[in-house]
Amino acid sequence: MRMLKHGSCLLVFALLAASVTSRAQVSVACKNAAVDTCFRSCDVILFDQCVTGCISGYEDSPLKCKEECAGLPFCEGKCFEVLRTIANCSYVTGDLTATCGAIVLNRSTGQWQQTVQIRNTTSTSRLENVGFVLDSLAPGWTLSNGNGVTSDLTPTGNPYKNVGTIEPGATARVTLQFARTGTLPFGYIIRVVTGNLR
Amino acid sequence: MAVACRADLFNNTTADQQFSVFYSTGFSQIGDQVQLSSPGLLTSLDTQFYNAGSDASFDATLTFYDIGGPVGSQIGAFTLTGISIASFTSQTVTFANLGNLLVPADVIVAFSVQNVSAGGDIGLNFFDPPTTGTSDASYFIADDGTGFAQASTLLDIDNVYLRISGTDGNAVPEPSSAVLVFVVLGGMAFVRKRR
Repeated sequence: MRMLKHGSCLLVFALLAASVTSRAQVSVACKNAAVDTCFRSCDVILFDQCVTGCISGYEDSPLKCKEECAGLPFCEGKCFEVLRTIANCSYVTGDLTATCGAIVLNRSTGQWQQTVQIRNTTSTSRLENVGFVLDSLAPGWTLSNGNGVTSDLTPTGNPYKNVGTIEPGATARVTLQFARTGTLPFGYIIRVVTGNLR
Repeated sequence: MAVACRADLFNNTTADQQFSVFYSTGFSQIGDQVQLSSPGLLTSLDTQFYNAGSDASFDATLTFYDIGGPVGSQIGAFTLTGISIASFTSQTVTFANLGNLLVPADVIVAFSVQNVSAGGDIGLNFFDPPTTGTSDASYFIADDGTGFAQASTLLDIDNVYLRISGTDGNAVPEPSSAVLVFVVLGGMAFVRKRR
């Protein structure tokens, strides 16, 4: 039986970087590519800091960036550059499923709302700092209970909602609230992320 | 011979869930799969629209379908024109002349709207649970322009305001049965005349 996805949200299985290796893993190839890209940007000026920063970024941890770079801003900058690149890596699908309900009007509050369920389909991996980004939100609609717009994740400027931790096999349920101008159709592409960057 | 009574075959008009789904959000038809108390010869149907825009008028088409995947063949369709609905209000609309349309007990009911006047924004209200008949509250039926499918609010309230009235279809003798009765009676009259 076909379930409607169009007109509500389209899920893109782009589960992004986890910051701790004990959790769901970003592909190694992706992380290597991020570090390699960083290396290629290093030149003779502050070369040692650049290399240190790029290597530290492989750990995919803002805390590690600060520890390894010992307060050197150029080093930290390169390290965070790697983190941002890793953040845009894609997981192999299968870590989660997301189901979006139809957008409805709550007549008692006058608020447009949509229920979204995100299920951790793994049996062992905890998904921490889960959030989802509403890419390409339809014109005329704005997310009114989000946690901000993306600045580290590309594309930037898209609203997101933090979900928190989802244990293995568990389902998180979130209510999105929207404001609407006009009568244009509703829709967006959902991008689920983990980690500290948004 | 059974006496046919007109009654509610489905009634979901009691518990307003305070949520509405709108055609403008991306649906061309919105409805539900319902289980009537019996197959029916339908006389009337009530549903309830909501207008989230400015005062408006619109036309509405009611269509009955057989169950399929999830929607099958069309059974019948009826249109009302020039329905008026004020801004931010609910309006119960009656399709009064269904002409004894015969429908199965398990049936799809769907609505579309046309000619919505400027500024109007029309939707259907969710009520749940039904007091006569049954319907699964985990989904409603909608066409998003790509075909019918099950849709859901994920709120377990997904039953559209409906009151469906008619005659119990099981109480109507089969046409073949009626013919048989007349043949027997006619035969008996013939035999008596010959004697």
